[in-house]
Amino acid sequence: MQKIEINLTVNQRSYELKVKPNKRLLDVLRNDLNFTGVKEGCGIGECGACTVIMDGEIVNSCMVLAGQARDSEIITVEDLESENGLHPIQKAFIDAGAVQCGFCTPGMILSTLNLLKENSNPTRSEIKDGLEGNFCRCTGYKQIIDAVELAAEMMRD
Amino acid sequence: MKKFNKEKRVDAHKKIAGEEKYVSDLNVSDKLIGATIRSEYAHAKIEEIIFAQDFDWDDIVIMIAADIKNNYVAMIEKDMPFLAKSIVNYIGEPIVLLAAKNRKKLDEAINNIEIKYETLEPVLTFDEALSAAENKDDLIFKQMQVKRGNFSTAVKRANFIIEDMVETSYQEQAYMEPQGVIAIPKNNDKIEIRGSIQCPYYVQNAMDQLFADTDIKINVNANPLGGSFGGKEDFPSLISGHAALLAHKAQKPVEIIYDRKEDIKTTPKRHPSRSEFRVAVNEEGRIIGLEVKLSINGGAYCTLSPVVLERAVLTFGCYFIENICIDGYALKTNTVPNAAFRGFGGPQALFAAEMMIEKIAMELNLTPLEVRQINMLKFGDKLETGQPVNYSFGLPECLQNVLHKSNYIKKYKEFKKFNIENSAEAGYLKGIGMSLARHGGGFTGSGENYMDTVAAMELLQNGKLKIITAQTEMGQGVDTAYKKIVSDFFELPYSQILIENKDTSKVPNSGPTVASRSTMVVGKLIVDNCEKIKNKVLEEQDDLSEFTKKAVDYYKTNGKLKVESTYKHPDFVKYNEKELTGYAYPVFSWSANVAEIMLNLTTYEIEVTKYFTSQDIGRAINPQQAVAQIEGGTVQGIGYALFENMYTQKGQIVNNGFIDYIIPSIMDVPEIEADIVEESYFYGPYGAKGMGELVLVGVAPAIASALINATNKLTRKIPSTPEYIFKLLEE
Repeated sequence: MQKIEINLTVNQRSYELKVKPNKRLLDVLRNDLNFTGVKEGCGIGECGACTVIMDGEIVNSCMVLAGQARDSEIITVEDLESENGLHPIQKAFIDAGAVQCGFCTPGMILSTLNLLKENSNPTRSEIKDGLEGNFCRCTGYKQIIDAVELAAEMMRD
Repeated sequence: MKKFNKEKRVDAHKKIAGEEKYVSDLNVSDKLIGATIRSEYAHAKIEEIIFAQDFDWDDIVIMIAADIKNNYVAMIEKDMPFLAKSIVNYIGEPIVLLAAKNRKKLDEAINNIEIKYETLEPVLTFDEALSAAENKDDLIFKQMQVKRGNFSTAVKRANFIIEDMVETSYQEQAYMEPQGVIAIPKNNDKIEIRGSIQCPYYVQNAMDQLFADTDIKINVNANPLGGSFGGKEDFPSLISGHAALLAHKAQKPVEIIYDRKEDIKTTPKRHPSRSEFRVAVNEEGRIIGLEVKLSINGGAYCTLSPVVLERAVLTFGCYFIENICIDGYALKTNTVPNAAFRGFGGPQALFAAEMMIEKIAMELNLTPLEVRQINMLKFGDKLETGQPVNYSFGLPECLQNVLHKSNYIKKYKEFKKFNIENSAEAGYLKGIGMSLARHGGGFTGSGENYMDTVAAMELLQNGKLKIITAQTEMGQGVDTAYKKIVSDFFELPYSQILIENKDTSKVPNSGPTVASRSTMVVGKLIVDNCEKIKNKVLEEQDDLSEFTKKAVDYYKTNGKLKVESTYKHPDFVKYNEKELTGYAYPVFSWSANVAEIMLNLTTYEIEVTKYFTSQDIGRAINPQQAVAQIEGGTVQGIGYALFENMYTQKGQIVNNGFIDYIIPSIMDVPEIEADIVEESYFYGPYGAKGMGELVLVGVAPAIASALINATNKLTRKIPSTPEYIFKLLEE
């Protein structure tokens, strides 16, 4: 298969890449661009560890091909911390004790980011709906839900 | 009582920033990718491995059994080979290893290998294994018996003899990060293993034996793990060997990272079990005798099955039973080897014990709570091994807590009434159930004394302290617990405390990160090391206010200070491993649990709506993370009780992804009310004892008990899937 040229904006920086069109966005991000905060948990779009935000939508990057991602804008977890410090969602995940092994955490945080963009004051049930595509095997989810509530509160202030 | 440092998890920042480096994130240049070619048959003779002649094999590294001199994975036995030589014993058993520059080359190579087999008769199911084992001893990995008193005399005195049989299924650990290692050769005579490895010294030992009689020196460096739950306790010894063999041959780094499908299909799981019990009960509902045959399916190789079995036969409920005989069998079948999983035999035994209680309640027309209260261990009682329960026994308080919080007694009656009067109209049944559970901290029996667990601590030039152990961070928060212990001891901020990498060339063998032992056993050594450093630096003074300054001065005058401590059980903790008598564990942790469920009468789906748990874990070093672990264990237990069903067909695991192996998602989480009872353990660090496994073991029986409240039928099987419930209600 012939390589194609694609342009990707990742975390506000533009990249020109020559890749096979059927290469997974997950591999482009991890292997070509070294955004290893994107994790591979299952490879078939079930677990949400590889969640990124693409053009404002949550996607499993293992289910998106490089060709489909052409000219898109991607946000990974590496984008959240800025010169001003941690993003409120990151702070909330630490404070609520929502991190254990950490492998699902980047995906959880990005799903939270998108959820709170659409709904700044979600109920616990809406939080569950927003994170249902992200599996966690350590926490039992309760502290993650607490973290999202805490983040929403901090972001509204 | 000391106040612990309130700072958050020490690894949280890296993890929320996406900066934590798991094995697949390591940037190792010039590496090859390894792959495994596996048996397609459950039991067969390998006749021939054919490498296609017209394929260019030049760039492919190949290993077969004949290339390996010490072809066994060192565990309890040496029965499991790195690669099958002439006989394969399960579907998925490794036969050939390949390594190549990229996935494409590897796939082409795989397509050019053909293996010819002569099939043999496999032993696949419990029934086959039990009947085959009656005639063939080599189908039993281990047989053991716990015995006290005389069951047959109890039978004569009994008013009721009650029998039944219950079964538990597989459970997959389903850590979010799949198994993976990378072997990096250095200067021809060294190999570094890096990976998602729960127990670096287990891998070290396995590699030392694999490469014995060579000049190759191995070191094992465990990365932070993306979850493990026991799944990366024993198995990394196998794939580390695979990667090391390929890397040594190629003299290039070789990475083997499983995809989810390969991981679920071929790595060890929780042992399926079957428990047949016969219990003698008097008219008040007191158990006066019990006989159990508890069998676990070990799969094709021994792995850790004997110790899983031992923990199972030593964990049969929280009741005083004067005459008791538990016969345990670990059986060999032609299926994927089963091994470590959080709870380690406990979940199987406790499910059986709690269903025994429920069955007695049904037969005697008592409530399940009454039967539990009549038979529950009391302070000073002796367990089946003769071990007295006369310290750190928080079970009665745990029970009081959950009964009070859940309003169990009232709801038990209300739900029964609702089910009779309103369920048809409502379309669902309600249920409330309970369980009592225990988990022994540390290795069973004399295990801890054999280990010679050593932990070290070093005072650095700048006055900082470095904690040096082999305990790995897999999400449970061990790094934070250790920093908290030291930070509290010296009243120092976290920034003054460092943790050495879990690299066997740098840390002593403080034993595996298993058996709820890291805080209780190794944590105690950390306190001992703190004492030693304090005595040297402060010369027996107690004033800690200028510790860092004095430590820097000490270093200037005396140079480096490194101390070590070795673990020994308290003197009275003695165990007879032949008779299975004495102190099976230095201390137990305890829990009482109440679950509420709704059973949909159209779909037979069960929703856990509320869960109350009270857990005696001794002193909680990190209360926030302790509660987080309780919640995590609860949800993993809900999966075990209800949906995590593994289907096998002719010995092959059929479901191998999260679409058909259903683990709990955020939608399956009930309201969980967890509280901690801190019955201090005099020998643990600040009174702490084990908790990592306790959090899971009581969950499934509490849910099964709630199902009984809803259906009036004994729950004989977990997971209790809608299909099972449908059949149960049709009976």
